[in-house]
Amino acid sequence: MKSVCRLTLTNQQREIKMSEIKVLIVDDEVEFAATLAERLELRDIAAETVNNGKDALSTILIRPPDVVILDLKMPDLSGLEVLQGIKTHDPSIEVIMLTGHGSTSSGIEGMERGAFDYIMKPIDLDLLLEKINQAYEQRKNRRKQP
Amino acid sequence: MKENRENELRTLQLDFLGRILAGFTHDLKNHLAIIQESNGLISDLIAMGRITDEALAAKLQKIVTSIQGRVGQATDMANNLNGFAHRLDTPLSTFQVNDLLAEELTFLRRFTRLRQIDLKIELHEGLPAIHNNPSLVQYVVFKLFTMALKKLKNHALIEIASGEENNVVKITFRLSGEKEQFDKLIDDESAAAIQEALDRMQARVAELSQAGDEKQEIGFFVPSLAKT
Repeated sequence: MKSVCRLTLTNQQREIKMSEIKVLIVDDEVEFAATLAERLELRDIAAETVNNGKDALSTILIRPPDVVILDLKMPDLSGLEVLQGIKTHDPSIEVIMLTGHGSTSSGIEGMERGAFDYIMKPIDLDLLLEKINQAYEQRKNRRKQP
Repeated sequence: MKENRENELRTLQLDFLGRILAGFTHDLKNHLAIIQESNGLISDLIAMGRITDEALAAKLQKIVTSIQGRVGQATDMANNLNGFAHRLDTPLSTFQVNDLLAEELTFLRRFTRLRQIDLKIELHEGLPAIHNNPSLVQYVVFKLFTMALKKLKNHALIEIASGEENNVVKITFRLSGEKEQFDKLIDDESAAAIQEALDRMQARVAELSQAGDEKQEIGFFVPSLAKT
């Protein structure tokens, strides 16, 4: 039974059914990752956080998520290196890159290397939810393929 | 020889400044992201009815909306500052004049507000992309802008427009309203600096109206240079 969470996201009230989706947030900004996870949880998305690339790669082995929200700039492994690690392990896990840059070039580079999409910081939560949904659909389709 | 070294040092300083600015804006956006998410969480809790005191919920919602608006404005500024800083990355690049103007005028608008001068911007859509020195274009715009501020009295109007003539992109400044007494639209010192920048861009002055004209106008064409 899917649970339904009603929240006013922007001006439009929307009903979101996302209880099946498991998201891993990878960001070295602990406060950002934790708050974003809490907001996703309020929308019935199972969200887990890690704060560096190595932990991200070990987490996907133990508890594989459907979608990874991945910061591009991190101190140990860069977002692009983590992206490569995820795709090598399981290409069906979809990755949404987070970039703080004014330009879109780094996000586009991520997509060229297999990321599903990218989103700028500070994030537009509505947009992120849409992308998570689309990424999840794509993962389901990929997994159906032989 | 000495002049070359000084120019080289100046270029290195600009490069340094660009990198520092880009780094700061990146960090700034991380802080804004945290503020936005924390604010959003409060908004979520209000929307879910977790704050039972209605008056308090309404007051908090008002604060949340205000913070959200300020974060949006600060993000726009950080994005523009970041873009501005990255303009110094390479001497020549391909860009849209409208992007350059939008990013620069975000900051310059403050000066017109302090002087109670109206700033009207008309960005013509569909202009061709240009390969040239974006930082020099912004420098010339800045020089013309400061010149215009000097010439105009409070409550006057500056109109800045982008356009195109014979496939060459043009930037125009129009000055209306009461002006200070002056003989030339551009003083000799500014004119020399502007001319040097225009020469480096292989750009040229489009038109220059006389000091006595009611509406004074100056514009310059920015050519697209061959990619090497």
